Amino acid sequence: MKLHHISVIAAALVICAAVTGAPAQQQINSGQMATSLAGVSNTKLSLTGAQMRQAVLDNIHNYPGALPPRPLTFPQLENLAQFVVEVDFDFNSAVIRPSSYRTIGAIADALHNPILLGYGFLVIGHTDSVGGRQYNVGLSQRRAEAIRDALIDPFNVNPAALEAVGMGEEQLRDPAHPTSGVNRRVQLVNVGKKFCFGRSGEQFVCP
Amino acid sequence: MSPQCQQTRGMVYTSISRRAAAQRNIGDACSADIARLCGTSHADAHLVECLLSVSPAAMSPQCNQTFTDTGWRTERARQ
Repeated sequence: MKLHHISVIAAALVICAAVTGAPAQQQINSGQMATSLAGVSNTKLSLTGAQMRQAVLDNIHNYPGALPPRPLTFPQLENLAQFVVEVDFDFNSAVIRPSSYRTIGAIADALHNPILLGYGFLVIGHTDSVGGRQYNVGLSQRRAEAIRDALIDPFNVNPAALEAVGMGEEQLRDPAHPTSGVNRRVQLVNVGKKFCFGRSGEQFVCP
Repeated sequence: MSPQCQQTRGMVYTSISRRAAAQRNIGDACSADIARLCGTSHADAHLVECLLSVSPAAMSPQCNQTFTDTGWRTERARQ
């Protein structure tokens, strides 16, 4: 009965949305997601979501053009535990397609794993190059926020543990094919221990 | 929203609430089992390692059910 609990939940949400014809999504393994996120660096991330958002805007301003002449990089994130998933949205919209609810549920399962208790995460949205760069920053921000919101409700992830950042098309995964679907993705990054817990389970910001 | 969708939505939220409650309460529900079966405290992630290492038959019914409801047993099976 309880086996595949979240899968059942995700399937039920798909029924609720009553959308048909969506492409099948690959099966996501929440256990592997949790393991990917658990390889934690002890280094405290000295980079905030606001700084990342500003860096994206600066990159567009400093390196104008239809495409980013070089990918924006954040070396501070490179050694942090993370994984990348695909989440489908309606075209030009931040509405998550029902075909991706199972993925969101699997991410939530991973974030509820006790090995990740107390950690903070960046939800980073990326687009392909269809549309203007500035516009894509806004779209990816809204999409990252939609994922964060879905993780919070209905999937009950601690809101304070999640921060959404829209990267637009500034970090294309396949710069040779900027409109390719492989560029549209969501990155989950473990940014380190954020909350500690007292003896009776109360939560507080780690010193 | 259709009645069927409303009903399904209610089931979804009930299921998620049940899972969240189990994850919140597992320390209390299983503390005696962990002390008896693993000889350790029920702190943090070691709780899961302990409970996965023992037979469900050896666990108290309350602990076994709560552990099942957390979803962590299923998650490990998928790894």
